[in-house]
Amino acid sequence: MPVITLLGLRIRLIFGGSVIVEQIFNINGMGRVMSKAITMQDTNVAQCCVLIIGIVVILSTLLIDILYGVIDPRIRDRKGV
Amino acid sequence: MKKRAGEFLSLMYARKLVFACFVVILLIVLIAIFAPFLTRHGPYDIDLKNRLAGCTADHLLGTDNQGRDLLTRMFYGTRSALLIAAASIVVGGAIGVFLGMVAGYFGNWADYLIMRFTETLLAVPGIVLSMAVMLVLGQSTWNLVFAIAISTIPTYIRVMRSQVMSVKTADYIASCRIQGGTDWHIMARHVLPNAISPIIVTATMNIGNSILSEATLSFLGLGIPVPQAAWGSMVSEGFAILRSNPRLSIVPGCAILIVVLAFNIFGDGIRDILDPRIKNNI
Repeated sequence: MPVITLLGLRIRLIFGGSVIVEQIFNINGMGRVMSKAITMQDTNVAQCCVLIIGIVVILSTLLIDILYGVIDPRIRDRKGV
Repeated sequence: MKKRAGEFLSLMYARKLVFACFVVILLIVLIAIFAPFLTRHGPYDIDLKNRLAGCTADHLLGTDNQGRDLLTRMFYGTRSALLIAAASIVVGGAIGVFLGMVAGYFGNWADYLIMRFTETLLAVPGIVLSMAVMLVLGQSTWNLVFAIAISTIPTYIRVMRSQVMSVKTADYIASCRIQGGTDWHIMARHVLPNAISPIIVTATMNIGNSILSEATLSFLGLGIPVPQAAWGSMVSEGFAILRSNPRLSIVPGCAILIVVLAFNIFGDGIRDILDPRIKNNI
C-alpha cells in the first residue's frame, strides 16, 4: 500500500523527468516536442504540450487513487464516518 | 541559547555523515566566495590553441571546446548554482510561507482559493512548469529564479498550511486574541515562529532540488545565458563530444551530484535533529 502512495506522488516527477531523458536519448516524445518548441519560441505548440502533459498527470493521479480503492479493501469498504 | 547550540553541534557530530556533508557544503560556499582568487585563469578566457587539452599543470582539469579552463568554470559554476538556489528558495519560501499562513489561519474562502491555486500549480510537473514560465518571461537570471521558485511554492504552501492549522488551536493564540491582538500581529509574532520548523527542513531539501532544476534548465538551453559558467550548460556543451572527451560532461555532472547529495543528506540530518521526539528527550 505505501508503494502505491509513493507511486502516486512520483507520477508527476516521472513525467517531468521525461523531458530531459528524451533530450538525452534522442527519443521523439512529448517531452522532446515541448523542449524544442520552447527553445524555438513556438508558443502554440508549447501551450498544447503543457496542457496535454497536465491532463495526463491529473488522469494518472486519479487512476492511482481509484486503484488504491480497488486494492485496499479497507479504503473501499469505508462508507463514511 | 548557547546550550542549544552546543546540543546542536554535538548531535551533528554524532552523525559523522551529516557532519561530513556540512563540511562539504562549507567548502562549496568558500569556493563560491573565493573563486576569483583560487584560479589563475578567468572563466571566459578563450584560448583556441589549447582546445580540448587534457589535464596539464596549467589547466588542472583540462580545457573545454573553446579553450576555457574547466576548473575555473567549475568554480564559477558553483557561484551561479548557489546564488540561484538561494534566491529561488528565498523568493519561493517567502511567497509560499505567506500564502500558506493566510490559508491556514483564515480558512474558509481564502483557504479554498489558495488551495485551488496550489493544485493548479501541482497539475503539471515542476520542470514543465519552469520551462513554461521561462518561455513566457524570457531568458534571464531573475526570470530563472522566479521559474524555479514557482515550482517549489506548492510544497511550502501545503506544509505551512498544515502547521498553521495545528498551531492555530493553541491556548496562547487564544489568549493573545483575547488581549486584543489583531490577526496579522498574531500571525507574524506567534504563529510564524512556531510553525516555521518544518519549513526550514523543506527549504534545505529544496536547495538540492533547486540546483538540479537550474542544471536541467541550463542543459535544455533555457537557464543561465550561455557564456556564463553554469554546470548544466557545461554538461550540454560537452554532450556533443561525449564519446571522445567524456571529461567535459562528467566533471560538471560529478559536481552537481556531489553538491545535491551533500545538501540532501544535510537536510535529512537537520530533519532528524529538529525531530520533536529528540527535542523532548533532551
